[in-house]
Amino acid sequence: MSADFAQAAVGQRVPVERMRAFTTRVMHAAGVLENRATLIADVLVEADARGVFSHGVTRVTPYTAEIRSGLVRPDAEVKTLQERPATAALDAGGAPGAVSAQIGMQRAIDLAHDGAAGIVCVHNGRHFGPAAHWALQAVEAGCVAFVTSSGGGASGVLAFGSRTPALTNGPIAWALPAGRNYPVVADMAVGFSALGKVRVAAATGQSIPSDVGVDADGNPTTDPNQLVWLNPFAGPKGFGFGIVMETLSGILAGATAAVNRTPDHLGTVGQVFAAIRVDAFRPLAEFVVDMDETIDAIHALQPAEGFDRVLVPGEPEWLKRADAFEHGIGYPAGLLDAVAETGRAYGVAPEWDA
Amino acid sequence: MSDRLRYDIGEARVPADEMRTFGTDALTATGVPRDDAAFVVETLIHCDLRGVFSHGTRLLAAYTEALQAGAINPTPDIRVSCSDGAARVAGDRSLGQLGARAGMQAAMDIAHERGVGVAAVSDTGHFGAAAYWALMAADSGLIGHAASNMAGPCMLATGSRQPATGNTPLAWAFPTHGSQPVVLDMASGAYALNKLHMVGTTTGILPEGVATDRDGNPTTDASKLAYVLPAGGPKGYGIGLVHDLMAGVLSGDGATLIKGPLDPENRVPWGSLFFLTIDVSAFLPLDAFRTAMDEQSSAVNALPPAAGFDKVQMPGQPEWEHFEDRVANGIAYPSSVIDPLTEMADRLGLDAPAGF
Repeated sequence: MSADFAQAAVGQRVPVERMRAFTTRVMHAAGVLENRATLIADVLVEADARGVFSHGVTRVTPYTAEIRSGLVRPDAEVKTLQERPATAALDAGGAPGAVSAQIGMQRAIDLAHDGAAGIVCVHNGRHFGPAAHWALQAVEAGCVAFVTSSGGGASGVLAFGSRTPALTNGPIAWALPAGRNYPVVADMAVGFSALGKVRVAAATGQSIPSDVGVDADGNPTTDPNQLVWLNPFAGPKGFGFGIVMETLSGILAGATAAVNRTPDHLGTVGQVFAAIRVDAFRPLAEFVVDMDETIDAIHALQPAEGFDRVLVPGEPEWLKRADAFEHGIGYPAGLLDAVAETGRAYGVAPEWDA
Repeated sequence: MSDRLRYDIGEARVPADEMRTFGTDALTATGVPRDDAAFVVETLIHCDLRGVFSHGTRLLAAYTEALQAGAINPTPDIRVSCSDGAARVAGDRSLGQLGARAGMQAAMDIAHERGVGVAAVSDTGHFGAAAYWALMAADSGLIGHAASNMAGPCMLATGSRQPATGNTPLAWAFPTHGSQPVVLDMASGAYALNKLHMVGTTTGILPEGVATDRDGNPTTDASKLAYVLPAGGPKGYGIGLVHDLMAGVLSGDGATLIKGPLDPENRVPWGSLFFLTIDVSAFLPLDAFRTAMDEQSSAVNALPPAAGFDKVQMPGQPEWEHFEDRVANGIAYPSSVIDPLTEMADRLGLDAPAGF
């Protein structure tokens, strides 16, 4: 969803199943129970299939390092702290982010099915992969979803008009069910782009747009090697959503405040899951017909120059996913090098040409 | 958010009370019962007091026209039905503020009981500034979220020449210790169309990269203004469409694109609304939440400003800055408010405020 720069050439295609099996084995070898390793692998490989490589299998390198350092506790149990009829606060105890996310969103769905809506705040969480993954879990259960989390890294996104950062580059995501069409999904970081894209531009010798971020002196830069802080997307609007993200995941879900997060002290991540059951408002079957009518109407709009067709949010990723499941995931050249190395360190041989 | 577009603000100050009387008289003259009229005007004056003139009393000109044309029902029978923590509100072609009040009040009542409340409002009008409704929740110690869709597609999709959705307004508000909650209020487009029209009227020139002509080509010529571009490209498109769908499709009215253009005859302001409220105390004591919010604001305010900025402000803070001053000393209006309201006064046979 972010700015279109630093597109890397495809290196090789790897079948989805093969990537899942490899990732599961690495996470299992790193000390994660088999069913949890399978879940983590599903989340990461699904991200790659959607072309969201920043949240895909490249994460096994930091994930396994975080287990070794004790930041992530692979077998921690997720416990309930307090409950109301439409809310739950959970303590993830440092469990892998995907584990608490799966449990957290399921609880929100259950609350929405008992009533109309559920919001679950997970304390002491870790990086959960793409927010869209969890929003879609609720869509499958007939719900409209909203998901947010503080970013896993240090604070690196500026306030609107600040010289030093105020926010982590955390996500905000929404998803709504459709019928014949793919669900509508909007999933974005509050920063102008993922820092990973800036790194790709640096590695491939490309320049970046001047509104991506600033150098150490606080000046806009087109040199990815000079960029230290990211701008929020769309100035005050992205910053505003950054405050929504930090407030919900930081204050409500107890994460370490962004201004206190440094590379030496990352603290904890808060995860927030909201599910709203459609048929508490109107029959789901009617809702999805109206969604399809809207999506069809958007598809029928006249495209701008350089576009074949007007798509709905999330659709570019759905189309990539369909292609990946058919032809394998097209990984950018060199992207899997570190992943293969991590696999070998755990005695798991890569199942592709590495 | 911070209003970077300049208004031609006049010198004369109009006391808020004088505007209350003037606005209430205008709505009652077009058939709205006095209590409802006073409430609607209060929500608009709140906007004026925050300096958001595009969504303040200026709108009374359009509202009274729609009331006179019969496009808005002055005496609606608004029905609220609540079950299992969901509130469904049928607005009966009401002024949007009356539909919004019913919806947000229901969502707040549910949140106090269950921790989270959601309301969908159908068949109402334009609800003014989204911030007002989010702030209504924050004033009672809840987190408030409001969004609206309207007829009249006016924001392009990423990659389209024709509008795909509205310039969807949305707001979030969070309680603090003071009387001025943290509030994000924004349109999904690069600018609110109302603001572009106001600025275009004054200067004839629009900022670059925010608007297009009728053929979907970017333009800075205010006379060609037709559509707005999404804020931040695909991110603004995504935000705009999902909130359009949450308000339009959950309520059963339909997405902006399906509602179609505003009726040129009577300019029916057909609006659908979405409200979400969260009881903070379901997660931590409200007092601790307020303290953490204030700490967050202090930390942001203490950040070193970038070149060209005097200070770093929280969402909503620029709008609160002159609120108390305007409450005490009156509101200085730009001509883009004074002109349509003076015309309205003539149309309805009322005296415009002396400060106009």
